Amino acid sequence: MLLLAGLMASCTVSKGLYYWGDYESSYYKKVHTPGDASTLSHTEELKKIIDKTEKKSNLKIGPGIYAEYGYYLLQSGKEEQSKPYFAKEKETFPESSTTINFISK
Amino acid sequence: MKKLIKITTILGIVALLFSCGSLKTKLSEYPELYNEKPKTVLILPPINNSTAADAKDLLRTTIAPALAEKGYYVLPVEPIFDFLKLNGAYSIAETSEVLPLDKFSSIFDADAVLKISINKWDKNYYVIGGNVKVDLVYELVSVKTGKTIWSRVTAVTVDTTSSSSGNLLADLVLTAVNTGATKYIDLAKRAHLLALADLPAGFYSPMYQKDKGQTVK
Repeated sequence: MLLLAGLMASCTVSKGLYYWGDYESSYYKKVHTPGDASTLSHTEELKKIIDKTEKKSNLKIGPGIYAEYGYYLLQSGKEEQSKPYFAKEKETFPESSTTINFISK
Repeated sequence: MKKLIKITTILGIVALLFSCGSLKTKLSEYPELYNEKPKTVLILPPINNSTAADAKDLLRTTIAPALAEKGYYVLPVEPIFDFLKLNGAYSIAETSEVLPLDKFSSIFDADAVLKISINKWDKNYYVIGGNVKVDLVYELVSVKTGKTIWSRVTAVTVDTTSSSSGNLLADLVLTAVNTGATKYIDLAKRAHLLALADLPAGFYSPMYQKDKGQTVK
């Protein structure tokens, strides 16, 4: 009985833990064709993911999204604007604190 | 009498163990991973031993979601790669046998690092779309001990000219092969999915510490 239950559990299609939007393709474009345009469109994609996960309670934000968005803001000279996103990464995933403190400097 | 029952019980258990001796479970294959319970993973720039220059970028930009979905906290890839570049260490996994694990621990508080080696990434795929051949090695290295606590070899070969390869997982790759840059990205995502299938679930997964008995291929 237990075995059967275990077998069935292992066969269920797992729903994703997080919402990623078009993360992979926009990040790939940024890396593959570096420049202001691809960086900007990847940054915008990250913001879209953030907005969507904050609006819908059934969608969770994945590790690193807040941090990466904050990082691009910081790189473009928007230090003040980047702060709340670094804080959110630490709040959502406390184990990121050491890294976030390092990259947000 | 009590002793006899004890002995027969033990014998029974031993017989049971022997009868499924060929059965490998996640716990029997990766005991150190269950023991260490790594939560935070640092992705290293992939090691490219293939002739496809783009393979490294494809794998690098798709790995974070794949590993996070297994329940691990993946340290932000781009800032860390920038840091490695700034310090002349972007090819660190390729050039040095000994990784600066103490630095990964003190600067990033990482529990483990993920190394991906690209041994084959068939270029035919790019030109004529006849065959897709991908050969990758994934290794999770403990920052604490420097030991490999999980590893996986993934080989995917797909003949895109035939309708079915007889391999369900390969067919999934096949259906993802369409026009545009997305086909390369989908291929990378599939490779990660295949490779990470046997990785024990991480802290954020509902399967965390509950998958010890799952069999490993």
